[in-house]
Amino acid sequence: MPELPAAASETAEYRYPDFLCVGAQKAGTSWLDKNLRRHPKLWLPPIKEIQYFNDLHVPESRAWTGRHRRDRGAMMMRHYLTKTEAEDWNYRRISVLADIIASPISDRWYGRIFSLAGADQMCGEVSPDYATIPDTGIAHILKLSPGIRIVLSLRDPIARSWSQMRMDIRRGQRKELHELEAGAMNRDLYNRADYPTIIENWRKFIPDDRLHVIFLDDIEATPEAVLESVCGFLGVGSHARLSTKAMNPVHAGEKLEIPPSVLETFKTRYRPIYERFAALYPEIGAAWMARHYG
Amino acid sequence: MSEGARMNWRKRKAAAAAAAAQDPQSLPEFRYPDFICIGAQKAGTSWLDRNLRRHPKLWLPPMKELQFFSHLYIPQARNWTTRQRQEKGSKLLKRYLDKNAQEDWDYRRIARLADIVGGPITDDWYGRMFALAPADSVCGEVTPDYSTLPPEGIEHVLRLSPNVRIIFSLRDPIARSWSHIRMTAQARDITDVAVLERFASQDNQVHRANYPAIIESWRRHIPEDRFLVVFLDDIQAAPGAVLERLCGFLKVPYEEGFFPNAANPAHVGQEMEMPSSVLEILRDRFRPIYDDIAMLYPEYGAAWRARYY
Repeated sequence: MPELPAAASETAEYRYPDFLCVGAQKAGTSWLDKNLRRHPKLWLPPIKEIQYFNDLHVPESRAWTGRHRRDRGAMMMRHYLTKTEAEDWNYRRISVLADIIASPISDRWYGRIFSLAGADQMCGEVSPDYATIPDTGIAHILKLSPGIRIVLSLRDPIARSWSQMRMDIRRGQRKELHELEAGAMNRDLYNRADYPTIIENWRKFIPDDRLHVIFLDDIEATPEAVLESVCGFLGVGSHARLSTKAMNPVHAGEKLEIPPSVLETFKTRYRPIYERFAALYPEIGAAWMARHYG
Repeated sequence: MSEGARMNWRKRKAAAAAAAAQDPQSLPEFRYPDFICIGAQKAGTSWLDRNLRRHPKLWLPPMKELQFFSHLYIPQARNWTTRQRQEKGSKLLKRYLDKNAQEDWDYRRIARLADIVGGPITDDWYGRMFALAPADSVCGEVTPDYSTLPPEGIEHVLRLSPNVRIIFSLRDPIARSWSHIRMTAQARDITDVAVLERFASQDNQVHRANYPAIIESWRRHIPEDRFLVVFLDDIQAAPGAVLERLCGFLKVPYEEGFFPNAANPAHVGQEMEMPSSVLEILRDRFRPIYDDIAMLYPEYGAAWRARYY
């Protein structure tokens, strides 16, 4: 029987994130998650997207949060138990992973997850559904992590929405043109693209220097520079292990042309978003607008 | 497997499956013991643990002897209790993973088995163990070292479980002590009489055999109707009657069929002749204890005392 890693009883029982990437969905968050967890000074949970704060503060999201944790967690558990020799098992990691899958969620449940992070590591997670949680949710985050740093990755709103719809099409949830047209009117889809409102909400709670906005355009053009900026923001400095993976897109959806009627609906509905966004971020905002409103 | 055992096993399997299928948010996060068996060591506690956990309405943790309060309040025991949890816990986890198909895994149980090994040992750690118990069960554990807890340890028990019921199993002190010494000696391959004499002279032996003092310190916090004393003599002579008393004390129904192995002793130590010098040391040191026990429990105490004095 090997010795346990440094007196298990002396390790902290609960810890809360130093940083969160709160979205946006379909805007490079999987890429970010995958790369950040390669950094030796950063720690992310065994599965991407713990989906804790949206589970608590956006009741509709419970339709998928529990299943997401169960399915992803069970996959990771199988992977861990088969790929790791029993004498090398990290029992605290097994326990936390099993609790992610099946236990009631609570602040202590959440805090136990991050207690796995090393004392010399910054810890955090990537859950794109956090972007649109209500104020009570943001206040909850601040209560647990008063010094939290927030990363928000953004993408041209129409491209983001269409990417999400494509994902739904692949999963068989939408397919007929009239369904897509109706989908483009979806309120949730609009809210997730309404970056100015999202940013405004978070800024009410988070000072400027703790909110870091990045753009998928930059991730695609200069991934290493984006990672460097995120690492700098998190105060950990860049690392060589990151660059090899920086170029590979993660979860790229299949190409599928957007039907003209759907595009038109988006253009009409999203116009105010583009305009407000251009006021916040003139350069990238103008480039996005030019694509659709020529 | 007997009919009773089979029934029990099916019931447990069904309960585990039901728990796994339940919405996690409907499950409790923490729970603390309804009862604790605090010892004495070498006085039938393994038998007690083994039988109580067969009762369909009683729930005990996956491992005997969580050693939680002893970990906190008897720091000198920490090395071996930690090793014991690591060894037993990892074995239990491996066995669980091997014996059950992944689609049947109860992940909460897996988490708690891993916690036994990985800690950290805190109130929440302890409370998560008992949260596995079905809502309608009476839950508790058996850790004989708790009988030697200092008053702060007893207060801690009460803080977590204000209405806890305590079970204390007693055995003729010299017989208990010799069984203890024998176990220690055999585990370390010791036969040297001088070493056995040294074991017999340890204060720890007096401490663990001083049932009246132990009872007094627990009874300061626990009312009489929540404190049950049983005797190994009765476990050996009439195990069913002892179990019936225990069920009554824990307020769960008693059926003979719940306990198909009631008559089988558990953890019987290897025989070994007690050197007369060891007996002399114990007789000498334990005399006042026998007198005190005889006052407290005239029937058992007098019979025990008559064996040696």
